Amino acid sequence: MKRSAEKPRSRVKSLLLLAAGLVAVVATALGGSYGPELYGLVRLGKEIDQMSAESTRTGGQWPRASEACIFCHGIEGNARAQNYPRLAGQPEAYIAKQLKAFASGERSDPTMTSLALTMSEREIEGLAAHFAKTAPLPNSTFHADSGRVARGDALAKANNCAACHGQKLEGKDVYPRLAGQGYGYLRDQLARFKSGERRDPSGAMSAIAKGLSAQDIDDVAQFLASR
Amino acid sequence: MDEDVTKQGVGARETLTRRGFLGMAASATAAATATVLPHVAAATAASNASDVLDVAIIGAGLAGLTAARDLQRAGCESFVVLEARDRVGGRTLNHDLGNGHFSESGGQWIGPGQTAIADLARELGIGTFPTYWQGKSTLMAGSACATLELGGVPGTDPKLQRELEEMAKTVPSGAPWKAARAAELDAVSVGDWLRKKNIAPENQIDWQASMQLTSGTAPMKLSLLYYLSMINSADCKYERLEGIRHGAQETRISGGSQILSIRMAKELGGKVRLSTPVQRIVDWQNGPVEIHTANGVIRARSVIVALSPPLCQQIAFDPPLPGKRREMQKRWPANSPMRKTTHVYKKPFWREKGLSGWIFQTKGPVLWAYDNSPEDLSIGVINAFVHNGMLPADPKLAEAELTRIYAEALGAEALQPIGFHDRDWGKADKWTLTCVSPMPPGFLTKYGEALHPSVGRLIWSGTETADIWAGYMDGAVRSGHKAALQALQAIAGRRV
Repeated sequence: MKRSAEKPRSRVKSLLLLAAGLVAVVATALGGSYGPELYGLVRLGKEIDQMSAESTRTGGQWPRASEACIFCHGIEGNARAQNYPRLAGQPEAYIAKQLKAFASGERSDPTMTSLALTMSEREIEGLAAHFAKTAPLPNSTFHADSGRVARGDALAKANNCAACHGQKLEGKDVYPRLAGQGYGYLRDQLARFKSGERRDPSGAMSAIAKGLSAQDIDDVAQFLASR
Repeated sequence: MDEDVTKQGVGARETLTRRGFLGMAASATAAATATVLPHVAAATAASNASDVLDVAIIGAGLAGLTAARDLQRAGCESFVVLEARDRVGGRTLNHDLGNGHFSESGGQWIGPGQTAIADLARELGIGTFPTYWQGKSTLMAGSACATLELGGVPGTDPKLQRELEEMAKTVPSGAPWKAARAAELDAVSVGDWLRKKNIAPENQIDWQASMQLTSGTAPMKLSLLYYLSMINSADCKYERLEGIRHGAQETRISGGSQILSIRMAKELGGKVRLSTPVQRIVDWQNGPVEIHTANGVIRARSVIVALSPPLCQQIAFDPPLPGKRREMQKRWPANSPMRKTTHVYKKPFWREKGLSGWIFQTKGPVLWAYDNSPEDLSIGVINAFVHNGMLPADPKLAEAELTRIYAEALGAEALQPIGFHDRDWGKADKWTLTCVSPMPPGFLTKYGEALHPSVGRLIWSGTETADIWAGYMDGAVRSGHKAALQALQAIAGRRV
């Protein structure tokens, strides 16, 4: 008896198993009246198994540390609320640097500071590697204003964002991916660089943001979010 | 004129009042004290009036207002409650649906063993009614959708529940760091513990959802010691913590949970000062303490700080607080701001179909949707905990997306909501940092000891400091009672 290999079954599991085994019998015996419900449970079970296999493939065995991130940063780092940053496809070095900056107090955020303080070096490295590998999906919940996007495009060129952030603003090394980032998040961060609330050790972001008006910041954020 | 009374502090009335309850404060509860001293406040005598109050309370949530109410019931009139926001209630917040109906955007449930808040509701003449859980719940994953009878309890493996309950018996709820095996249990996460249990995928979802709802984070980021202390709060019964039926989510407050604070504040009248954020606290060691607010300086002999530990970080203390206390505040996990939505319908149509209105969604915006209809059922309400970042922030987009999910789960009637409300506590304002405390491994054994002890003239309150049901509305009320006793005792001590 390999008891340890047996998986504990909850009510949900038992019903799913029951459903799988009985669906044909019950459907026949009762003229199909319970069929759809049981079929729904079977399909649900299959869907969950598939999702679980996919998560294990991309993030390792459950439970995973990265699950603490999905509430705000979305599934696989693709947040769908514009006011939360998207982590998918961010350069590994950038993510690690920011988590360390939150922990050291160099960067401050009421949610991230205490969370980053709980992380070991190894955990930070693991999370940075994980999100760097995830594929950034198009920012489909953002609805851009084409006029403002055009103005933002011109401003991005004038300020040479691509020099650090990459030709396609895809990010590199310690410079974040900006393409498809959340509009509200971009606007907040640029405003914080401008006010001095967020500091950039190189001084580059502070200098650029200081030269932008509130309208400019909005336009640049529109452009970047729509990439 | 209340302004004058509280600011100038003290006439003859107040001095005598303070003298009156001296002997009793230390040994009796505030409530009991109040019943023995009905006439003290009316007495007259010479006064040594100054502009120093006996007590200043910071925070007009359930804890601060309970403390204020106890002080007043004990005959103390020399106090003030300072609130940063333009409203009372802290992490409880009613959303007004019109016609006397409310749906909660913040903390809302009470359950068995939560006697402090149940008593408070009774004393204030506020009714309660059962949370609706009857009928089948909808489980969604990808394109699949199925209904299942859950019976108002979590569907967790009973064997694992019993194992947790046994361990919880050894972890005191109010001070988990005092458990005999504290170091060992705090070194691991609930996730580490679950990993060895070989949990099947569909049960992983159960664990994930209940951890997030109860403790505010994923199993890997939650200390096993802390989770056991929560189960200990629930009389070491897993279902009493996690369940709706027979659990901490069993009962609702008539008029919405914020009504408790609104009612207490009304009784306190001008003692509660809204829109008065405290910026700096000076001379907290020996007093009188100077409390610098956006609206001037208040001086008090004792201060009840009825805030969550991380929120204390927003106040500058001069001189700085002791290192351990400071470090505890800085590191206290504040990373679980919840986001709650409200859909209003003409009636709770799902009930007629035998549905509970509950929806659990895997890898989607809805963590848990539930029936939050008012008692008289004159309208139907579906509230939901949504993942902050998984649903568009734009209210129109958020409403449309949730409406589509509800239609799939509950039927086409769901396509016609008559109202929608969305509150993301992480973005609303800076006066609430987190809902519950998603306690990471290693924190409590290192910093827990700094949570309770008063320092100088500062008395720490707020639900996080409660001995039982810390993190819950009940814990807030308990912590308020305790802080009032400490303040009364301090006053008594100074007068001997």
